[in-house]
Amino acid sequence: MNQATTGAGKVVTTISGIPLKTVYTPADIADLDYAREIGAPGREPYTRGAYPEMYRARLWRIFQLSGYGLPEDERERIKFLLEHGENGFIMEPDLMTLYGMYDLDSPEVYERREELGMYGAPLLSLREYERALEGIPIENLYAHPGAVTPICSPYCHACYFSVAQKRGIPLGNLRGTGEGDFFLAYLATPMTKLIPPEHGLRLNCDLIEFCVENLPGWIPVSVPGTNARERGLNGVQHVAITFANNIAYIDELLSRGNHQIDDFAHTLGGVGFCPHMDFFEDIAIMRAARRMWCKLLKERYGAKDPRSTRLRIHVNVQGSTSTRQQPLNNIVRGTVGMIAAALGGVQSAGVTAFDEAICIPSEQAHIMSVRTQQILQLESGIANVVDPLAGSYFVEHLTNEVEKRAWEYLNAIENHGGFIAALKSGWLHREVAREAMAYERKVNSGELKVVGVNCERMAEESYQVPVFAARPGEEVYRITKERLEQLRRERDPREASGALDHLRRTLEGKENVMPAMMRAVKAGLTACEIGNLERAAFGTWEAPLPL
Amino acid sequence: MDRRIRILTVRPSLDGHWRGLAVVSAALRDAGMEVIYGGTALNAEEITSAAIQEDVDVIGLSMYGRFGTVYKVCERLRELPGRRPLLVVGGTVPPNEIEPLTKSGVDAVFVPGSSLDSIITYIREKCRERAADA
Repeated sequence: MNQATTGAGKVVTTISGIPLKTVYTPADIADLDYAREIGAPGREPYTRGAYPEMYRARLWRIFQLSGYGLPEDERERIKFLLEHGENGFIMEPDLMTLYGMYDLDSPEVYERREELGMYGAPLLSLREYERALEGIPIENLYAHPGAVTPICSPYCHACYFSVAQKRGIPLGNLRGTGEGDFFLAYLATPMTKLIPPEHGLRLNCDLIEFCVENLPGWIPVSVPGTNARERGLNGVQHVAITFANNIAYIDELLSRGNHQIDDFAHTLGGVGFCPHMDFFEDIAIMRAARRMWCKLLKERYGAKDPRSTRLRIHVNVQGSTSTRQQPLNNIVRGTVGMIAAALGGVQSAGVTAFDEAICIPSEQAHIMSVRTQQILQLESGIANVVDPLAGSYFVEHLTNEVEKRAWEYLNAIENHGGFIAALKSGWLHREVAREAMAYERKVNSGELKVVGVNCERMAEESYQVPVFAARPGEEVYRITKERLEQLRRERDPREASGALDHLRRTLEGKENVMPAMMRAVKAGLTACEIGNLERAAFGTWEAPLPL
Repeated sequence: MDRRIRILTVRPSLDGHWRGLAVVSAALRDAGMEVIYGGTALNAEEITSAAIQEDVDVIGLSMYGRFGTVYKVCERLRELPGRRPLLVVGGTVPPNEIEPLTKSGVDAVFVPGSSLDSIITYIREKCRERAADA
């Protein structure tokens, strides 16, 4: 609840503003229909969990984000985490270049080359992907190939898929996920010269259709509500906006007429949420979201396949609630958030490293994120019983409240024209700005307690964490540039120009972009060259930031 | 002070994180200051020219990780004839970077967790002192 207010008459609420009583009784869930609204785990409406056996059958996947420096630096950290029990890996692409598919030589990047590799390696060609993945057995691992923004997602996927093909792994055997995320690229951390949202939507839908036909084990667009929450939306809102985004994909895919709802809905039913130091509300969010997704897919879209109606959840356990002050306290915050996520029945999790308010995670901090999860999985007993809080007057009541309010917020988004229109008009940018400000004011006034920040402060902190420093950006720049020049010298110019023409025609037309993208990366086209084609075909767009 | 405190805010990097800047800007405006958003991906030259053109009392840079642009802004400000604006940096500044920044001419660094009140108070008091000195 995070509002340690005991004064009489004071209204206590969850972080999302749901009023809380002191105690809950059967009267609070008197209307609850167990069979219809709760049901058995693994059965509709999935309130109690996506699968019948949950963690007894399979523990949640330990799935951490990692990457910095050069591709080989990124590879070493991924291997380190895999050796210590991570069950899959999330590649982080370089923000300066790969997020927006910028040229290494563009004046904007050159001027800031010290920032290259700050987080994520500049994986600017298929060769660099091969370098980053060398010695990593991708045929056996669940992966996220760094496909974080709409403009880079088809390229990142094409590189990863091509690495597999070059190793003789059939695409159909690959398992993993991407994002192509609007929240990150257009709402939370928008760069300049974005492609207009409707074209980002098109690229993501192309990718979904390609994967539906070729990679049954791949979730190409896992909408990470996480990034909307870290930017400011509250828990209820981040569920609603995630589904609003998914509705935009579903409507576009249905309007194309190539596939039926049950052909592709399962790919959109893998989403990301974010616990936020409100223990019971965070649990209620996971339970309510599964029920909402099931209703949405059945009632609005007539889905029949259980794969379509079953929501699977990845969580990124809180970045923005981490504090720079007394950073070891973040280990406790990560643990609390991870317990909530586990009680909420998530399938996959990454815990923010305790030093992330200070630097890129050190090995020590990164391994702590893995160990936090392993201690919960192996020692705590939390994995033994499915949805242990079902039937709690409070938790069931809160689950109902979260659902009710999330439908209301979804309606509000739809009243602003739906996800893409609300994004383009700047309505969503104003929403996140307002919510973040409201949160910050509560921290500033002390109404919301943050230990080490607005209470329990220490003039001299008795412990310091080591500051991790990645390879200097100048060095990343120099080596990456040499490698790009070598690639341009060595690639077959006829193949490269043929692939470039093919990709240009595809981007300008309506054909699925993925075959031409695969050809382009194999012919040695670079991320920057591909990004320039995308901007030329689609034009550019600037996020309407209320600053 | 006679006139409202004028602040130029900039995100010099290509990195798009804007939560910190949005929150701080809103708080400064509520405190009666005039906040002019200079934009994203500006270099030291552009930042300094904008500060002169807008005749601001304070430059606020929202930073993460690496700080070459800030040092360049410090150099440019040193070259200015007359009184230079106050230079304030906010963001994920590693602890070992704070002293080099302040030694180079950054007046204050506000790290994550800094209260909005502490930022407002600092700017208000510094501007008042400077006005009294002038």
